[in-house]
Amino acid sequence: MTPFKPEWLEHRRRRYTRPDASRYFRPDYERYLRPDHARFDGRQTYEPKYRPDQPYGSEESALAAHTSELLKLKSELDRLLLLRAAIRLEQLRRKAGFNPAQPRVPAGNADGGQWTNDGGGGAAPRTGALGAIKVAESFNPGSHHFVPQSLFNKLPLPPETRKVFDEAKTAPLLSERHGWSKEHRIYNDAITEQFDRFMKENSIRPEEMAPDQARRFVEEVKRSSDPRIRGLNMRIYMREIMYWLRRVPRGNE
Amino acid sequence: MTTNEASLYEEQAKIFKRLSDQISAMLERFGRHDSLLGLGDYSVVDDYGGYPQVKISIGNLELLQPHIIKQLQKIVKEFPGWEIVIAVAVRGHYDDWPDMGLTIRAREIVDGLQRQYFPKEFQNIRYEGSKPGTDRD
Repeated sequence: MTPFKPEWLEHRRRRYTRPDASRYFRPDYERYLRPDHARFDGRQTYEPKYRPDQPYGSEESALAAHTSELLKLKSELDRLLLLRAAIRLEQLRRKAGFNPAQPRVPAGNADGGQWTNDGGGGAAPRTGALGAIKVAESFNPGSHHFVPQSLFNKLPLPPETRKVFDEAKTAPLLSERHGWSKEHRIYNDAITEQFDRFMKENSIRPEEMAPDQARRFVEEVKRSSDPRIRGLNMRIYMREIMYWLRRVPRGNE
Repeated sequence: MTTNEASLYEEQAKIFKRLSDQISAMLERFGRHDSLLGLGDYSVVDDYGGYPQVKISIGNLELLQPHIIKQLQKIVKEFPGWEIVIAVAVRGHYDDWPDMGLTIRAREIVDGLQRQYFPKEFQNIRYEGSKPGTDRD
């Protein structure tokens, strides 16, 4: 129930509302009100969840409230577990070089079901929320490179070392619209400093850098506690996670 | 991501590569790209983020000269629906200058430069066909 006395409310209404106020309302004004608008204008009584005339902690009401809360949490947890599994699946697929679109030999042949590079003829692959990301592994732009390509492109690195930097990247990015932030250049700045330190500490020249050394450097970047590096990487991860959270259906949908 | 979305994504990523290559080739005439051997005048973000745009971070204000921006606009005109985002990121002013920049599209330039922070010689830069705005415009 509203905490104000009706007489007092009426007095306030008369005092602050001009007598011809209704002239200023469009005839179809109710179209613009939310269905439960009466909750907010003091005319509808408010039903508290726990009525004072009922014992607050009665067993049934407490149990029902707990059960409802638990189901909501379970639903949310299931959604997150599903999302994590989908991301893990996609990571494994990329690691194994699995291509869901690769054709298979049709049933009835001696090697039916085997992967083939020919036309195949098997059923189309099933696709799930993340199942059909089909970006060639060697195709670079659609990912975040831990060491930006443009930074190492012109370095006289051995091809195998270059390949390590090329492959050190996230899954394809799907959510990023850039603004005018300075984050990418600050990231470049930090990576350049870290690279310089790494090369000096290990007495390496770019043209002599071995793939293992490049891998070590990439690991350092991934695990870096430098806020300039960690900050951008975390923001990219978070944007991607938020993107997928928005796309994957909730447990109760 | 459905198969259709995946192939569209791949197509967009290819366009991104073509556009960013053209931008890099053009800017090379006016400045030096950042590299692991040292910071240069600018860097082109080479990771396609799922949105039809290419981002350039500029550390040398000379690259904001109208004739350079006009050439960038000429490039982006060849890529309908795409835009170039320029962020001003001058070393030494990462913290005391706010985020600012330009968004270059085929038919307009959104100008969010805060010239009061620039040295005097850059405060009067103007772009034909530009309008003031933010990076959300």
